Amino acid sequence: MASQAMQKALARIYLDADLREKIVAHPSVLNDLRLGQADAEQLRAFVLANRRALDRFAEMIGRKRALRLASVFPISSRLLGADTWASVCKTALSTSASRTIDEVTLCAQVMNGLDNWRDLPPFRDLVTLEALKATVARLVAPEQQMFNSSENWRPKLNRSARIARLDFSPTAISAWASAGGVDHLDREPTPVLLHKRSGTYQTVQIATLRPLLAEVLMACDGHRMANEIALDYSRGRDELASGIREALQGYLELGVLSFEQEM
Amino acid sequence: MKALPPNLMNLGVGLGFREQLRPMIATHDGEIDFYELIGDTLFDDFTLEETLRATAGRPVVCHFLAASLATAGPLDPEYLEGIKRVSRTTGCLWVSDHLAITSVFDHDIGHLTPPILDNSTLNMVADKIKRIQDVTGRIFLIENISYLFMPPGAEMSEADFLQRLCTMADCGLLLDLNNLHVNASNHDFNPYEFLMTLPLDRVLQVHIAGSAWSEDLLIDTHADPVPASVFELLGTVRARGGAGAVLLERDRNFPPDEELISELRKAREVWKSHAIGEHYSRDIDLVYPPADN
Repeated sequence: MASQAMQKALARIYLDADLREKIVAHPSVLNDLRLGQADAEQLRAFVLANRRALDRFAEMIGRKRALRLASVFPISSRLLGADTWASVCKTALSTSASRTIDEVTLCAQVMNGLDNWRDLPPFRDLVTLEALKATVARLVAPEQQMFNSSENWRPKLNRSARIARLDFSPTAISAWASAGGVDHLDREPTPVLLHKRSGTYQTVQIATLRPLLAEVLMACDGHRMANEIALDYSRGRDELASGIREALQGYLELGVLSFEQEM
Repeated sequence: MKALPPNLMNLGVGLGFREQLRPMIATHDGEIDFYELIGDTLFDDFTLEETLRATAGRPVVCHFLAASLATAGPLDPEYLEGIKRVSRTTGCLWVSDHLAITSVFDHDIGHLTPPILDNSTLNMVADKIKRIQDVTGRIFLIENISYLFMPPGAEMSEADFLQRLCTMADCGLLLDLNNLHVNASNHDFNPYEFLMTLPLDRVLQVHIAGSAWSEDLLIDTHADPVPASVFELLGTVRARGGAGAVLLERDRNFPPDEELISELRKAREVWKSHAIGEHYSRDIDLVYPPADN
């Protein structure tokens, strides 16, 4: 079988223009890819023989991702206009081109890319707002998980989930949009959760979080037990601890969290 | 060995279901014998129910995009569960995916990429296909992709790989004629010689679609009219016992309904005029209908 190292190296070469250049100019970079001598030489020959095709392929992937992003954020992309949206996507895509990346991270980068439009804060929250609508329309049935305890597990934020922070509240921006725009919009830091259910294709879901819940989710590192996290963040309130435990199980069912079972 | 039910061998001319085509489907359903659903979009109940409502009354087949069969390592169990669930809920006639890598371990590549065509990959992909067939109770069709390059380390040609894979996994072939046309143009080989290497009686379905030139490369766009050369390939495959089901793919740049209808009719004309008979046996151990249905 083609080795895992070889497949990893190929995936990086497909996506990373800098790596392709380095392989041509400085073959020693191949040592970092954990390949045998024969595989490394074969890979360099492949890059040399297919440089143009590889560049074209990377362009194709970039275009495809831009289309996907526009489909996740249809209103924002239309409101910002083709040129501005293309610029936002370009920022995200140029960052992602340097490494393999999943769609959730890419969406997070688009949102970060919108930081450049500080004087247009509504757009940044509009992205969240419309994604929230998509979330509501795409409520999914809980997955059947091999989960057999409410407490003895170690929650871990799934690799297909990210927590980002917005400067403005989607609720405020919604009111702002309804009123046809106002002179002033207060900044209101709001954590949001972006995630993609494992096994799904290109559907990134976004939801706002209460600050406490964002802190709880960020504490899910796969080492601490659910009960321990719940007690830490409930500040001695039993009812809140119980709510945190239930929320963690809910996020497990949504695929936001995975878990390490207590042995 | 079981023979393929005759209705599956001559399914007719179908259309890839896309949300943007809903109005056209509602108006011209009589032109469409079956639908191909993108399985990856049906993992949530809402979309699944809506899609089945739109295609009600017609046979469906399920096409998946991201099983990444050629990735070293086992199938993603959650993805496999998704294939199982979607295939059974839709009652699809068969399931398909590509001979490709779309993700490597933790990362999505975001596009179909060609595998290393060596013996160990062949064995691994065959095992994964058998597993999918076991789990879903449906025959699996493997699809050829378009590619701008082939990774190093190949031990056989793509056509040889597909031929051996079909035998080893006892599966069918979803021959994308546009991909073949595009590859033959870009890599300068004779597509008819490629066809002669394939077990055409295992080609239960073909894809037809459009492509466009980008500088000196022909790109598989799914956004342009089907070229004459693809229809000619269809005639050849049909005349040699394959292509019981012809599927028109259109993903973007949707034309007026009349243009798509015209392409469907053209496909039907070729499909009918090149048919070699109503029924013939196939050497495929098909598990259909599913034992538990």
